Amino acid sequence: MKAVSSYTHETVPTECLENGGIAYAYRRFGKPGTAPLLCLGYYNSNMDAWDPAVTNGLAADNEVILLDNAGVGASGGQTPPTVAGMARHVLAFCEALDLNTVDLVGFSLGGMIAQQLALDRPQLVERLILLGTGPRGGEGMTFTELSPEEQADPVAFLLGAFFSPSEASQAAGRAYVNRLESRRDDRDRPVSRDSAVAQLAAVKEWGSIPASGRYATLKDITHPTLVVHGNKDIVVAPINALILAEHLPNAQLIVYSDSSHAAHYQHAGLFLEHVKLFMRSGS
Amino acid sequence: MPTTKTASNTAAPTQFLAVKNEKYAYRRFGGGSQPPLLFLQHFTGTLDNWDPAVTDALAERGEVILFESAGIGRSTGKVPHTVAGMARDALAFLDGLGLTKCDVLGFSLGGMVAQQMAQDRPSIFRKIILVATAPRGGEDIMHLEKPSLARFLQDPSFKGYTILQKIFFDSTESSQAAGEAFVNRLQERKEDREPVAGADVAQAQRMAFRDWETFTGKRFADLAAIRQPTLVVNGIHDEMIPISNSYWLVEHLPNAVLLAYPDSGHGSLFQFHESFTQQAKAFLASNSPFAPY
Repeated sequence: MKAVSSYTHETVPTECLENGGIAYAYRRFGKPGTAPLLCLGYYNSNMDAWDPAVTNGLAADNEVILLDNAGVGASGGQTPPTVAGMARHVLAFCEALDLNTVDLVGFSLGGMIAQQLALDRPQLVERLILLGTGPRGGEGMTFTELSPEEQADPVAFLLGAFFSPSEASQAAGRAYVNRLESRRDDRDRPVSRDSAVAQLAAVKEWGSIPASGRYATLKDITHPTLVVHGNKDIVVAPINALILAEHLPNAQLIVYSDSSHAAHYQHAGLFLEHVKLFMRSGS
Repeated sequence: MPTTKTASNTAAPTQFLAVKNEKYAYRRFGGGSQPPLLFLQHFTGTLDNWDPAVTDALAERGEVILFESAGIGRSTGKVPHTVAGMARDALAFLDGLGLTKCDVLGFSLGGMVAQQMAQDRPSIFRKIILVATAPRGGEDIMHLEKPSLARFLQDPSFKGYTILQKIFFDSTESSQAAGEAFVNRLQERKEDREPVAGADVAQAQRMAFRDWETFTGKRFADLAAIRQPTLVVNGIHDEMIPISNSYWLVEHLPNAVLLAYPDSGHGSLFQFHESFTQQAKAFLASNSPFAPY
């Protein structure tokens, strides 16, 4: 694919690629030529959960690939119960797509997978963009299953967990929820209960504090990294972003005020600007 | 002389402004459509301590004004013992220039002065950049006696710029190399230099730090009054004013973003001058009415 793709988040068709007997669902659009931005989503989310304001903005300067990992949404296979297992699937997908290098954009669980992949296959990864995530064994990363109320009303859950209680943040949250509807056709399949259970096990395992060498592996992730976090993130406490910035040898940290887990969606325009500056400085 | 030559802290002439009974030294250069950017300096720093790599790049977007506070360099008067006193001097200077609104870049002590000015006269700043500084009531602010700093400051084999390179930069090879490049840039200016600050300056400013660490009422609650878009910048390993202080700023300022640089200390803006000036330019150029900036 050499020509500039005219597809957008809204129009890009979902494609499927098989490796090791598993069909990975993905969407690829934007400006090819550089290492694509491979986007790895948060717990219990599929490709439709990416904010079109952000993906289309990223696609103006980069090729963008959204991926449903194994067992998620429209992808086949089973979701592994560990981040390491998920990273192996992302690697299998990259191999199947013949990608030699990628920039990884990981949001929450996706950011954990991105760190793991950067450790496991450093030469595959050029840059990391870690959003609302934390290091292995981070602070307070004890995740619990969504309550029946949270499962029953996903919009209320998003507004409560991804945005701060302030009026400005809640308004930004409603705008984000509306943007998610802009893709009308070829929507992704919902995340199955089995996959969600395995994902929860994976983030819990990632969040458990190791007996020794807490944060020790972070020094081995030498890639240029942009860490972005909301200062009132109630899903992954903001201290985790500071820990990442402190221990990763080459990470810039950006913290947005009055924002929670989806700080980068609340401040989408500013986030895109910060990504642009980061991509330029890293090259 | 063509402006391209003088729009630099390496070459811009030092000017003097008489206000009331004092005479303030300053440098003003650059141009562009954006409001002037006031630079407020760090502990014992003079006009000559501003890195041309930072000032000159930012002078492309609008004027920059480097201000020498009372009792420093060739500015007359006594160094105030409080940040509030320094803020009064800086506001008097802006009044003397006839400036009613500008942007500000406050570094370390200068960042405290900038916050105080914004408290005392909310209309004075459009946008605020706070680098390696702390809110009132912050902690571990410039405790030069602690071992990690004293080992350089009290070692007679380190002098002048070498000390700056050691304490403004991380101990890694890459950060120290950036520190060396920084002190070399500071020495590019050969003429019309400022006298170096003496022990009396240091003593008064240290008193101001101790006072700044105290607070009354609810800690950090006063920051809610600073409503300007604010960019907070810090090196991740800052021994002089730890990054926790920048974190509190972003936590309590209503409209702020924190940008932290890796592998760097107090002088992260000089180490990453290219990235920093790009970030600062983007921040200053944005006209977004929405928080954060």
